[in-house]
Amino acid sequence: MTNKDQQLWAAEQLDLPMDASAEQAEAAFLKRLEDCGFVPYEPNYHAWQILAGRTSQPPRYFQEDVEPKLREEIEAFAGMYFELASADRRRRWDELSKRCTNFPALQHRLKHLARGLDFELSELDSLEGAAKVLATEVCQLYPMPGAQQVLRRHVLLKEKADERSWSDQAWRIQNVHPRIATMASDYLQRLVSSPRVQKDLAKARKKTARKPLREVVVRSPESDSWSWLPYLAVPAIIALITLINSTKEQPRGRLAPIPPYRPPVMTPEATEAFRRMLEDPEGARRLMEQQNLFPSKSRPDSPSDPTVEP
Amino acid sequence: MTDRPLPDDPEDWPSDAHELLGVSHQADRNEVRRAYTRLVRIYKPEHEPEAFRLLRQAYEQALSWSEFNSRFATPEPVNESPQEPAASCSAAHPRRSVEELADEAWEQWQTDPAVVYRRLVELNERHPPCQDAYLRLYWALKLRPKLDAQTLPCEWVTRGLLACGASGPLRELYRRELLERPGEAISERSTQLVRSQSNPGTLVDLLIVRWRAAARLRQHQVIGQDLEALRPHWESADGETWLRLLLAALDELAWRVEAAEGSSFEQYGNEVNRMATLKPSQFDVLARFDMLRDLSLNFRRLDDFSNLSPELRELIARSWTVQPWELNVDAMRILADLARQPRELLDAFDQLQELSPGLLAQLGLLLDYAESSRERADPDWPAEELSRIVLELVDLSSWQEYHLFRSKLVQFCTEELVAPERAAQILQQQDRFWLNAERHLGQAVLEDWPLRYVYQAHRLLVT
Repeated sequence: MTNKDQQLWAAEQLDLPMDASAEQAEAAFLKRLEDCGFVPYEPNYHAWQILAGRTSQPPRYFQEDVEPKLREEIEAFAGMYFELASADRRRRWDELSKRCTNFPALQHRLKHLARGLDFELSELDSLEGAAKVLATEVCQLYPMPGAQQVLRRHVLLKEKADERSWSDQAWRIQNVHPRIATMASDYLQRLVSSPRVQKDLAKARKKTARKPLREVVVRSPESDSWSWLPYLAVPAIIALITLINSTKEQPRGRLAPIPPYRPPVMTPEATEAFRRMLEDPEGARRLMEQQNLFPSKSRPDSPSDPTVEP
Repeated sequence: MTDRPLPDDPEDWPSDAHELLGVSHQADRNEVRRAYTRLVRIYKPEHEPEAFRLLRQAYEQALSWSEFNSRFATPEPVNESPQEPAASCSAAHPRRSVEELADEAWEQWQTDPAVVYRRLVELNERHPPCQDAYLRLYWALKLRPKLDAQTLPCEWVTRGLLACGASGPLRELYRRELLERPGEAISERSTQLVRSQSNPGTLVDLLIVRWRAAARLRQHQVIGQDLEALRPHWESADGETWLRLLLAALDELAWRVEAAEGSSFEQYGNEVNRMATLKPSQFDVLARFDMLRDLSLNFRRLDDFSNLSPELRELIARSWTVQPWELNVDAMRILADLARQPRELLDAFDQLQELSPGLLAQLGLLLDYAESSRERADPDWPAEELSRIVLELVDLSSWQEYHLFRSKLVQFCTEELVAPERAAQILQQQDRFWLNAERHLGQAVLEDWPLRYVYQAHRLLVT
């Protein structure tokens, strides 16, 4: 942005001409100050500060107001981009760039428009046939604003989707005319890769179509609601069969067999400990109990246990 | 002049200019102006432009009517004893007379500002404090600083606030001064002003303005000093106000990067916790504080992440206390700048989301506001075509691995200018894109806030 932009904005706020003096600005501000009970409308205050040369910092109001206007100017420039001679185009671009230093979005747009600054439409005359058609489309697409460009590019790509020759032509422009290609590299790249993309797409869709329907549908929540059924039903049937069989073999009231006696594994250390403990009769009894050498009388599975039926 | 309130809707306001201003049809120029001034302070042009327009219209009508009246009015009887106007008025209505005198003095501004300034200073010394005099003194020095090289314009505002109470237009001017020159917040004048307040409402308001300015200068110690100076009086006398002060302090201290264990944030936070826990009615306060503590903790951990630019961190910190419209220009500049590299921005937002969704949501609020304040120029995609290209993208990608798919999706959305939520709608219509038994691809896109915010930031760049 330049001081000129700020001056223009400030003069507009106070209803003054662009070349208003500091005195005029003060008088205009003073009138508004009194009208607002000495708490002025903030843009008026900042406008007076700018016109009186009191500040170099643009207020946020200025930035909010001026960005749409600058964007309009840039789009007007883009609209007549190739109509301007390259020298005039560059001059205008430089001027706009200086004014847009504090606006990343506008800088982004201008940066895009920088690629074709030195290109003249007359250069297209050297091309023929499909290459010329493509290059002309590139020059049409290039200065368009974002949203418009996206839609137009899509229409052009759709028109050319079925003919492989466009892909070859796009590849040729990329390699033989890089200055043209750089203006709409995205469009040309898509044209180049279009046959491969179509092929990949067909392959991917064929693969999806080959998948059995069950595999696809079983993932949906509706089908998932019954997916637990086989997991539950199969073990249930097995358990049922086992139960029936076991009932057949084992008559009711029969006791489980007593496990066979297994002597403890005696390591040399354990034997030594055993020997020492035998010297102490009480210790020996404890040890025997621990080793389960003599089952106690109260074992529930003992036939002598009165609680167990013979 | 009547003080009756006007209806909320300006369409219901009286059509008669005098009735609207609340003055009689015989009111003189000064009365009309005072009534207008009173109303304009309520209906500010920046907030209520329509109301201001009606008031301005009524004021001009009433003014021309009073001029007409004064031209054809019956002359006053000559036998009335001539008296000093200030003295007579001040005896009957002291406040009104000073206002009138200040008004009269100001009328000479165009002719001789130095005389006006001198008269206003004298008026201020001889008469009871009058807000109108302080307002004019402030603007006199704002317009011509050389009239009194020893005094800053803000001094008159501070003196006015001390003398007349910290409310009304002087307080608004003080707020603007501190926004413009935050250094004033750490001056002795400012300290004296806030520490002498007895009204809880004005005290809190003034401190919020002062602390915000001090925080901008990274002079956070001012906050602790103020609290300790005010503690003896407010902590025991008015627990509710004390709690509000602590919360206002925490709002600034939470974003101090140097904060650590045992810092003033922790100290005052514990105090808030104790106070609010004791009162069930303070549940909201406690919930808000818990959220702030969580955000603060995570904000301090941002240092461990290299992907976040310092500007973005600063933006997150400021967005807690500053209104979105005040930050809009800075937010748009910073976010649009970062959106030039969508994948890098997605990485940064992912980290932020993982660390603290609340911090990301703060940026989201700024993006929402920025978007609402601009004209949107999205491509008007035909529905069928849009569906086709979205489905093509999915079919050509390994969408089952969502984290891989989204990097393709962000490129697609930014190149084709398709909002992720719109793509999600299309995907949700397809039954074949289940990531697992519970999660659909469309839902995953819809809930992918980092991705959606990257797209919003990108749109600041291209539309």
